[in-house]
Amino acid sequence: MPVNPPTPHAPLSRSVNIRRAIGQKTLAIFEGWSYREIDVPLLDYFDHLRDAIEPDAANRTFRFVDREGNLRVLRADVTPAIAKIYAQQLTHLPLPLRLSYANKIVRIERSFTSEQIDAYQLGVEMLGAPGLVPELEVLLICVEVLDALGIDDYQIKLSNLAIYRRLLARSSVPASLYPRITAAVRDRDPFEIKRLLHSTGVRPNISEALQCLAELQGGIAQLSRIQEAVPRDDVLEAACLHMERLMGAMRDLGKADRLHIDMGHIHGPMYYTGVMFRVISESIGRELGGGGRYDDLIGTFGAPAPAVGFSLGLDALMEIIAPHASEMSHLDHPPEATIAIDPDAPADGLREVLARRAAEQVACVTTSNPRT
Amino acid sequence: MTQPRDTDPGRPLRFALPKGRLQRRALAALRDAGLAIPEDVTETRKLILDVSTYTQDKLGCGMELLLLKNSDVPIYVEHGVADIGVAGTDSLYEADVRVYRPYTFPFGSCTIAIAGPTGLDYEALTQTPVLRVATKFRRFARDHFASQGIAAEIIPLSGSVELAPVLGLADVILDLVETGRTLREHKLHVLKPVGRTHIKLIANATLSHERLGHVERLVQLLAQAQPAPNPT
Repeated sequence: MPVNPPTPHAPLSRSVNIRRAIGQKTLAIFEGWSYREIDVPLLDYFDHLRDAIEPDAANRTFRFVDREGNLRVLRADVTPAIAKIYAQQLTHLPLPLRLSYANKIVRIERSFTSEQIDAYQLGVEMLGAPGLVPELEVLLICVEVLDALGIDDYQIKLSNLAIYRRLLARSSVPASLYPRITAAVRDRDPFEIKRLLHSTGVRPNISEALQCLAELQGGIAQLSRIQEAVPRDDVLEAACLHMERLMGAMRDLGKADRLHIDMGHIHGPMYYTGVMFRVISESIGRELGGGGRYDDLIGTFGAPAPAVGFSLGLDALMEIIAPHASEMSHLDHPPEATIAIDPDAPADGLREVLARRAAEQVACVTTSNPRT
Repeated sequence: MTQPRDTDPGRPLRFALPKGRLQRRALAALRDAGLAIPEDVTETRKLILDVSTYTQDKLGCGMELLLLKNSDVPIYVEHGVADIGVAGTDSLYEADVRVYRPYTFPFGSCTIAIAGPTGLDYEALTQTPVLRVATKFRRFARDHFASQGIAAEIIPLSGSVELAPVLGLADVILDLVETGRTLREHKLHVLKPVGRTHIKLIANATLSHERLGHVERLVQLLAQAQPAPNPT
């Protein structure tokens, strides 16, 4: 008989309680920012989503043919599913529309926890929301969640895909090279960027700006260096100014301690169009989540609207929280909650159980005589 | 669940070094960069060596060397057990890891080539139903032949790949070629170069901003001493 693959978390025990507590706390914060929870279907039609996700993401989905011959796909990313629901069912609602979710997704992940094919995402999406303020809002929500969960080892890396795409467009390199250049920037490999551009005739200043994106540490000065390399470009100037204003506002709010401009963080779903961010944790060596602006995604379903959102992975949150989760231990059954029931007179003990439940206290039934 | 990493900003940088020739060349590059690590530091059975005394001044932080098998270096770095390491792009491709690659060493670059017996008509061979390819680089070989539309049976080996066509285990091999001497000794020659490998300084992608600063400093020291090779 086939055996289920190992799960990244203990399927039983108090880890389930901790997961639930994290979910409840996070959703309460989302609600506190006026987000309404939306239920996203587990199954969708693949053809509807095909144009909204890049080929690599599509390849990592689980698909099958239903009884009518339609190609169906298991929910692999919540954001495109919400974009579709909005475009097809919710356009009558006033904008901006604030939606939150706590959903399991199923996809093949390329990671060192490669057994993981299902994951739980907690996130928000703000639809019909152009400009700086919605981006600040989702960043602040993200910071509030992480702080409320007591996570002190995280950094938020902020980048802007519009800058990278502008530089690519100015470079005039063939589109077939884009994925390799993207990988080289993501891997902070200036040698590889230079190597890829070497024979393409790209102007040295554009090559320099692309290499600048691949700097290890980033920082606000990275924006100046890009503009110095490629001066008098309105698109780049506007995007860099936008990043400076975003950082400035977060600094004014006292929320920039863990925020770093790092323009090499350009990986993630390619439906992002502008500001994007990734939350990383050194102590667990992986990403906790990420988000950004995606102004074109909803339009692929026929109802164009700017949007921004983010999600956090519950498994990564668990990994960082669980070792220090003593404050959540109240969810474990306290010893006094265990009530032994005599099988020859069950009503006596069960009355005590009912009394505890009526007082909304924990009760755990056990039998005093194992013969029953 | 694995043990959380030590996030103390003051802890030494953990540097994963592959054993063998690459280790000697990497340590020489560190010495050229001004980190006066003694040549005999690795002449011990210890696998973790504290060389902080030699790095503190120049780098602003201590350093521990982890001596590992070549193919394990990318894994240790991706998992964050080591902060940085030295690895060839061939190992990185095979391990399929996401790590930063901020510096390319000016040594150790090799051609990846398909090689076979002298006189073999490679183009004719690719028209056969299945080409048998012996290699240490399974993932690279699979992706290369798939991209060329060539049906290939990949025969994974861990060493002495040159023997495979000589003894009839495979039609050709896909391997690193530095000077071509080993090929010639087995009456093989390069049929088709298909890529080039480079030796990289690699870094974990989730390092804190402060620790990335130390890595940046190391990259600057290395680049000042030995600029990266020309990107050809």
